[in-house]
Amino acid sequence: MSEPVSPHVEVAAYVLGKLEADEVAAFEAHLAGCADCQRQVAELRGLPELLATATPTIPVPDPLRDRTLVAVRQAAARAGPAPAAEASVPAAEAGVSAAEVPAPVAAAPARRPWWRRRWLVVAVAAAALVAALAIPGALLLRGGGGEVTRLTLVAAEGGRGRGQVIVTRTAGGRSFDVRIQGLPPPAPGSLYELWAVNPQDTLERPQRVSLGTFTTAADGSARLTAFTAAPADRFPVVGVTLEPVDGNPARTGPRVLAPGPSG
Amino acid sequence: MGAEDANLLARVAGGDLGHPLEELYDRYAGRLYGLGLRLLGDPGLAEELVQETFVRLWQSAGRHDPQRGSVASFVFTIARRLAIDLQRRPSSRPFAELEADQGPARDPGDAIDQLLVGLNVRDALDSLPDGQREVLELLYLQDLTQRQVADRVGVPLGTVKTRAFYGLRALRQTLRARDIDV
Repeated sequence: MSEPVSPHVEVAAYVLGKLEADEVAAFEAHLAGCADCQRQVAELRGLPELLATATPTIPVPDPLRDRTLVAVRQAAARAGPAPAAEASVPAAEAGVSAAEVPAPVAAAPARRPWWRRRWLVVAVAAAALVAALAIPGALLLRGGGGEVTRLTLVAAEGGRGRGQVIVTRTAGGRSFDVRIQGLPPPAPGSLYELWAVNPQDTLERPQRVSLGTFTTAADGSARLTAFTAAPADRFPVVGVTLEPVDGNPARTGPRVLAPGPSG
Repeated sequence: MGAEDANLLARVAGGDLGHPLEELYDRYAGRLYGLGLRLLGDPGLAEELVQETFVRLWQSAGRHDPQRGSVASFVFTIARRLAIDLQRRPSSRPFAELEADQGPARDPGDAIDQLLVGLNVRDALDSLPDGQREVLELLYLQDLTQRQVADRVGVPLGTVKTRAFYGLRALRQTLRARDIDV
């Protein structure tokens, strides 16, 4: 019941390898005498290989949309007027020259104190952001209420793991929605402890409050929500240490995750 | 779609961080996230790539010149630089392992360029009229026969053939406009 189709359009099925053997023979007979089809075959021949490289469309985690929009608006709020005003420079590569795309954030110097690495950035971010993002937590103010800050955690020197923390201002303080990845489960008799930390904190003069303890799953992941009423201006950053189960509430163990770049 | 993207980006550059920004996110986040996952091997880093790409897209939105390149190229150029940076971060272990598999001398930029071609192909496919895109995806990416595609889509076999033909031609044109050799 196939309706008549111009032999020329068989070019597509031909280069895609979708013709049956008898159809291939018929089309090649046509091809031999058709300069137009020969040109089309030559032009389209490379496409199947490229088609195979097409990136599959992957569902994006829903919360990322809000976080990304918040991050852009936060950056805009920090920067003041729109950046368009300052830029009318002709661009080269893909419509923009190398010098004009903001440089990537440099990796943190290895030897700086862990809490000092990016606390300024984090603190500025915390002060600037005005937006609401739905995360779990009974104390959460929705709508125009909670300021949201996204922090990251990176492996301390020589360690493993990373994490993301969404901090939401609530009626009672702050709520921390924490996702950890790649952090091996703690050895028996020990656990991980999440802290809200003051940048002046040292082992000798601790200035930190515990946000609770946790372990990770076999795949190194953990998901937890923590709350504190400790003031954000005094304890703006977060970190993770490895602590013995000894009943001592103070930090005694090594740092495991340190503040990374703010979101 | 290209002109529409440019219009959205121009509005973002003008300070409209509402609908235009959200629309650009909806158009590009999937591909950027896919790029991040394939390249960085870690959902957290892939999310970071998406988020930071949009922050920088906003920062440089006023510098986009539609005469010199599409918004897609502009977005992926930003993402490419960011991905290289994220790969080099010491904590990006999955990529370090990937590199080890592929030999120590491999330039991360090469791997990214290959993936960017894939992104551009996806982008070009998505820019086709729905009927053409659907036929090409079913024919080639899902490896159905023309007859099976006709049944699945519910159109005559001849329509499948013409859609495949015009779809491929449009795809070639789009890719060449992006400086991809076809």
